[in-house]
Amino acid sequence: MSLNNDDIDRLVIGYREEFTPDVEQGLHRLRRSLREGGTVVRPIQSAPKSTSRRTFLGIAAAVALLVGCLSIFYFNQDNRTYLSNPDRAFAMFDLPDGSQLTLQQGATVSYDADTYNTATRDLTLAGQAYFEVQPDAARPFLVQHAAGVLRVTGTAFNLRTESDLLEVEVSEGAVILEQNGKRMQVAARECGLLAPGQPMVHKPAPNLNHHAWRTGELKFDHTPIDEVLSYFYDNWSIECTWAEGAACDYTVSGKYQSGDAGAVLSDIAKLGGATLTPMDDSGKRYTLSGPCTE
Amino acid sequence: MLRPLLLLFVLAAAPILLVAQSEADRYTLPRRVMPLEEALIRLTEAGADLSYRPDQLPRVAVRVPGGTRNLERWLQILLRGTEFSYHRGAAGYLILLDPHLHGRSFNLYGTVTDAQSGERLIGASIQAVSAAAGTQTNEYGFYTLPVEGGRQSLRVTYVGYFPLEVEFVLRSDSLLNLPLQPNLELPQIIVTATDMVDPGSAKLETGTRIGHAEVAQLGGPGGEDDPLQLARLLPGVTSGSDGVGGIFIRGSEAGHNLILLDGVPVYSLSHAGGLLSMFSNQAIRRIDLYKDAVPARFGGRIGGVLDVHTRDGNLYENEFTLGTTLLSSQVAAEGPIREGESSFLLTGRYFWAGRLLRQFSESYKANRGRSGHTDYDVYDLNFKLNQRAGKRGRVYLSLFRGVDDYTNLSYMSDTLERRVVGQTVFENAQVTGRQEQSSWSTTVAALRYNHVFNDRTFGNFRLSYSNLDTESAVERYDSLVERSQPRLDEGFIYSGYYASGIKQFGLAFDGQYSAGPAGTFRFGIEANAHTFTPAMYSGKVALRTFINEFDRQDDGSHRPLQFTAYGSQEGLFRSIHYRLGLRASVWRNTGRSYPSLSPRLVFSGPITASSDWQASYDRSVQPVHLLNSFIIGMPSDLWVPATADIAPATAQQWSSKWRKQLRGWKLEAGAYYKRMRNLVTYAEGSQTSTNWSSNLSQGRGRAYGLETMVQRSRGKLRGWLSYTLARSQRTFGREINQGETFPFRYDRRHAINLLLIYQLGERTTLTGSWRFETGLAYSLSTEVVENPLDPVGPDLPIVERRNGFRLKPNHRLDLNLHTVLSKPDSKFTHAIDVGLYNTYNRRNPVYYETQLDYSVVDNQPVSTQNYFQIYVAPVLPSLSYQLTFGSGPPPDFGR
Repeated sequence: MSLNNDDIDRLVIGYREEFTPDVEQGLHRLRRSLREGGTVVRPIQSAPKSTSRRTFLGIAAAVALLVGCLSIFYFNQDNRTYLSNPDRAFAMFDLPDGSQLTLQQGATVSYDADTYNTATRDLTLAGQAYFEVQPDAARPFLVQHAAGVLRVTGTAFNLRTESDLLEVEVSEGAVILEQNGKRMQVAARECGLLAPGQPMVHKPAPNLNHHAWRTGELKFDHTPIDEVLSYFYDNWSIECTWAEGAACDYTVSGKYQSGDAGAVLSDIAKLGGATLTPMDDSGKRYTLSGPCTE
Repeated sequence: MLRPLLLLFVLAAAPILLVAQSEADRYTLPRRVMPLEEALIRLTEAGADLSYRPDQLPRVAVRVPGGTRNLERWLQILLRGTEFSYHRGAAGYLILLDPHLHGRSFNLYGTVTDAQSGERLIGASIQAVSAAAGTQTNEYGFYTLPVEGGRQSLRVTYVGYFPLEVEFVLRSDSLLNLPLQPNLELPQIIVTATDMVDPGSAKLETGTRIGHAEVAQLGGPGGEDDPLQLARLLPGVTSGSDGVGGIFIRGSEAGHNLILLDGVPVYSLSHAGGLLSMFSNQAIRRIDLYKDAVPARFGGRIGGVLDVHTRDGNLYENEFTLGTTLLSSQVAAEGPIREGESSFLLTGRYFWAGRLLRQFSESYKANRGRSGHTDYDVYDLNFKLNQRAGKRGRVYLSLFRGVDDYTNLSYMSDTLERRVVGQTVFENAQVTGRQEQSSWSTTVAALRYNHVFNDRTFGNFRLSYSNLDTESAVERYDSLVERSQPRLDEGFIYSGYYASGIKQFGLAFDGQYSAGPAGTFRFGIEANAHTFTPAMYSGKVALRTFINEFDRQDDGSHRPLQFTAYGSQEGLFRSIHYRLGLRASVWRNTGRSYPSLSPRLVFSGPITASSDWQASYDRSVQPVHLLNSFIIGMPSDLWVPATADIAPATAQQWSSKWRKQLRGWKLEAGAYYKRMRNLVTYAEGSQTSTNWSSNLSQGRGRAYGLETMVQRSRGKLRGWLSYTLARSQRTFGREINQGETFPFRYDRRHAINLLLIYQLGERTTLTGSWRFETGLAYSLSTEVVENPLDPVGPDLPIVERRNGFRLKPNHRLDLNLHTVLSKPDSKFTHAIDVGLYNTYNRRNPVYYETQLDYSVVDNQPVSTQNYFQIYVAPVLPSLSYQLTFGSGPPPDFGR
């Protein structure tokens, strides 16, 4: 889908219309930031209070307590600010414009501290992150990638990048993907894919399974096993291969909220009558084998 | 102080915390019927950690009771009727196929019925799709089949019906009734034996099915549908010309056939001496004909078995049929008494042609200078009631009555000569008289109760009554009478009187027990009480002499009792299907008991994927004898029991068969050898005694033959061609044929049967049947002499060799066009048959009648014996029309 800037502005105006910002709270946070001086970057200690995310909250709390241990690489040479999460399951950050992001382990976000939040809010991402972007129609939020650009004016989405892939799954609002002058809108509960030289891909994502690394929730609805396994790779880089290439063909429905990817994978294998065997101690490589039950 | 308080608080709060915890895991579902998957989705939407494979999940609706329960309880409720169970996985609950179901065998049982009429279908094939296991419904439409637990599908097939596939989850022994929808368009397929591709026990279904619809396509004499016409086209089955004399299966006699009407032995099969079946096609569901490998539940006869099953009557819709042929009018009514639970069937035929025959014969005889007439009254009635009795039982009441009443009177007087001797004038006249009267009536009643005891055991209780009353009287004279002084100058007079009364009361139980993969056990017991009152008089006196003498009360009636028990086991050993049966019986009459054991063995196995073999051994015992006399040219059959002097007849038969299926074609070849002992016949010329038993001769017989058949049961042109090479011989004591072996009267050396059914339209068929048979072996006498031992008795025909003369071969072509007309929404169905009987007007001899003609030679009257070939019917048109109207959809093709 191709959109011009007017379309984008209209979408942005419509987005979160009923949302009433807590101005006082915002000002308080701004003043506190100014008082502390230096960078406005700091980890966020709060997180959603869903009981289903209890495990993740525990981890998040640990992250908050270990704030000093977080590696925040700040290089003055190119005046870019780098945010990265080298060893935690995920870490949350505030951006200068008030947007928030949650970085998956191994992911890095960088932006130009001088220009960010001036005309635009430009940044780059390596790895996977969840963004909650403050609405600001005047300063589009742009994620630059070799495959194209993701344009946002205010929304929430999960973004995963590899060197030649940008994959966005939107949980609220909409984003625009731009590639070679073409534009495509990806709305809530949809997924968009960009890859250099490939046509843009747009598909539904009703279950927001690309958010599972953060939410711990996987939901399937007649989902083919290949697709199910792809979520494990996309979320946790877990690779599953069928022994001797003999793949079973079955679909899965249901909901997992445990956040233990290995346990979920084990259950899913059991549904198909297959056995899950770890290939090493990394917890990232498994073999599926066994008779395919009809 | 603080610590105990804290402890107290913790203890008090603990249950509250636990309740809070369990409340959080409780889910609410609405009270209604919903698809299983929807219920599971609702649970996951409500937050349950649950996963399953939707591709595995059965598409079933579950009755959700409503309320709030924890997840495990809900899963117990929802998965109750499925093959699934739930398991606690590493990350939540998993719904998986129950591993305990697979590998366990459960029994599936129930009945197969016609979905429109509720009629139970006999011999329907039920096959478990996933396994190569299958079975067939028994004669009550009941089946039992061991099937592995879990999700299974069954395929049910029956000729003329749409195949039914049902999918279900088997968690325990289950009752599954299977209704089949009639296929109104698909042409009926003639099935003469069970399909080889049918698995399992079908290989042991040794009967040949003669279906109601196929019979309707074949038509019959005068337009009268006749199942026996179709039976006689099978290899190994023959009859006299045009059916006269009954049905003869593999060289045995008509009286050797076991004819069962709804399980009750019947002592007569035909109207008009064999020309027409006694059973109206309107009333018949099917007939199973057994030539060999006879199941142990059949016994008491040494020939074949004709197991006639009548229809039950429509359980759902009322139907009324009116019909007429060139011979009879028929009426049939059926319908539910209480829908789905009880129904009735009433059919009746009256042969109005008998009325026309009287007028026609009067003028025919008058034209030939005779007086007299021929009268023939025939009717039959069938009535059947069936009522469901509880969930597991059904009661059937069936009644049948068939009556034949035949009279032929003929008188001719002709002036032969006028002589004058002196003053006296002698005027001689030739007087010829024929008086034949014959009547026979059959009454059958049966009260049956079917009960499904459990998933493995089925039983049928039967209380039965069968009665045959026959009475034949004949008087013939060819004489020369001196008119002025009435006295018999010279002449021949013969008269005979035969009567037979049989009553049989029976009580029986027939059971079936399925032992799962180990096979099926069939067992039963029977008790029968008979009363025989045979009478036989013949001699060179006027008939009135006997009529005056005859008093049935004085005649020595016999009241034999018979007790029988039988059992048979069907199973599979490696690739060989087997049925091992044994029938034990005791016949007690006139102070003597005849115990007998009759083993019945049949084995069948594959040769290739498309061919198989079958081998069988049967021993059978028959404690009732049918004495045939055809000397007088009309049936005077007399049933007599085995007595202290007359042992029961026994037979042993070894039989084998090879079958091959080739696309739509089926090839079959079989050979048999049959040995019969203690056969009974009238001693030569000794039909004069009032004491029938002292003038009988006992002997033996043997029959062997080769039967081949090629059959096509698909396509526009269907039918079969069969060739039989056979021999049947008899050897009696010195009083019969000097003790020398002679051919059986119906010994047909060669027999060719061709049946072709061409499908002209969806509901129109043209059927042609041609049969060729070697002529009858006939005892032709060229001279009659006075019996020196009994001058009053009838003269003895001098026969050089018993059955030593071969009549001309029999052959005949019949054509029939059968069509069924009905508009899609109409409640009226018209069935029309137009045909030709004996198309090329072949005069097939039944027997030769002798008649004395007088002439004057050298002024003296001289008699000469003339022979007349008696044949039944020249070329005759056949026409039949039936109108059926009912409250339901049009009846199936062929009705």
